[in-house]
Amino acid sequence: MHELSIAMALYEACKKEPHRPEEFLVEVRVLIGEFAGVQPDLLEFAWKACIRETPDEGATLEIQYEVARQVCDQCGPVGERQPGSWLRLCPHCGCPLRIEGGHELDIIALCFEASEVLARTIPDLDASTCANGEAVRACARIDLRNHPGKRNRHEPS
Amino acid sequence: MNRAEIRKRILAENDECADRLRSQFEDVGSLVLDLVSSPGAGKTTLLEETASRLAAELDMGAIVGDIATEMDAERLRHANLPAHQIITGGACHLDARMIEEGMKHCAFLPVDLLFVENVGNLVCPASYALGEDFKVVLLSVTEGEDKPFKYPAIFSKAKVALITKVDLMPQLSFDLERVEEQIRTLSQDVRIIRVSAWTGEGMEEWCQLLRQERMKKKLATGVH
Repeated sequence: MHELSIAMALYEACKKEPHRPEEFLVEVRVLIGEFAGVQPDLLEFAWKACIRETPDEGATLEIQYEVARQVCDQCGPVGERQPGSWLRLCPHCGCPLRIEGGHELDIIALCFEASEVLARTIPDLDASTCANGEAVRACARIDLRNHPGKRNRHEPS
Repeated sequence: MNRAEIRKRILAENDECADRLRSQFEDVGSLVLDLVSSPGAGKTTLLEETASRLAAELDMGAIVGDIATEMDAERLRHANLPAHQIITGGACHLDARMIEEGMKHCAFLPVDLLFVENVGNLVCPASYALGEDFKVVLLSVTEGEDKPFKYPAIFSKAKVALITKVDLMPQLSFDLERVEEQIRTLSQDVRIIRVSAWTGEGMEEWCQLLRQERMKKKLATGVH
C-alpha cells in the first residue's frame, strides 16, 4: 500500500551511497521481511516509476523475501512455515514460540557502473576534482536525454 | 563496476529523524505513544475518554494524522486534549518528518504524555518509527476475529493491544479468546486490555498502564 514511499526512500538511500559522479546505479538488492507490509511486485512497479527519466533509469531491483522464523527457547527454530500460518506452541515441547525477524526492509547490495561515454563527454568528472556531484549528475541527465541510446545498456537483459 | 555489499535500512532517513525526535522527547521526559488501528476502531473516542479521566493528573497532548479534515483534532480539543492535526493529503501513514514538522505548530508541548493518533490503517504505520516509546494497536470487536493473523506486522510490533467496543459483545459472535490467542502468538510479551470507552470497562486498567509507563519514563530520563 505504501510501496511508492518505500521506493522513493530506497532511491534516495541508493543515491547517498558512495560512488563516483560518473557512475550510475545499475542494480540494487533489497531484503523484504514478511512483516514489512511490502508487496514485491508493487515495489518493483513503484521502483521503475521512481527512476524513470533519471540517469539511473533501467537499474534493476532484486527483491529477496524473508519469512519470519518461529523459535522455541528450548528446542530452537521450528522448521519451514508458510507465510500467514503460525504455531502458538512448540510442536516438540509445548512451550510458547518467539518470532524472530520478518521486519527487514534493508538494502543489502548495490552496484554502480561508470558511463564511459559520459566520462568522455564531460571531462573533469574525477570525484577528487568534482566539487558538486549533483551538478555533474544534472549534466549527465541532460547528456542522457540528448543521447537516449545510452540508456539501453542499463536496461535489464 | 563498483559493487558493494551493505546492510542499510531503506527507511534509514526516517529512522534518523525518529531518533532525533526520541531524544527530544527524552530531554523533556515525555511518554509518547503511537496509536494504530483500522479506520473506525475508536482511537479518537478512546483518547477523549482517556483525557477526561487523566486530566487532573497529567499534562497531555495529541498529534493526529488523517488523510483529510481537522475533525479528529477538533473533537479532542473539545474534550480538553490539546491537539494538532496533520492532514496527510492522501498518504496512508504518518512518518517521522511529518511529526517533526507538526511539532513546530504544537504550542502545548512539552507534555507528560503525547499521543500520536496515526492514520486509520493496519498496514503501513507498522513500518514507520515516529520517536514513540511504543505502539498501541486497537482492534474493535466489530472488525472480525482473524485480523491479527491478517495484519501480523503491527500486532507483532505493538507493546499494547486494546480490544475496543467490548460493550457490543452481546450483539456479536466475536470470539475474544481466539483473537487474544492470535495476538499472543505474534507477540509473547504484549499486554492485552479489553476496553469500552462507552461503559468505561477496562478504562481504569488502561489509565493505570499510562500512569505506570509515564512514571517509568520520568525515572529513566530524570525529568520531573
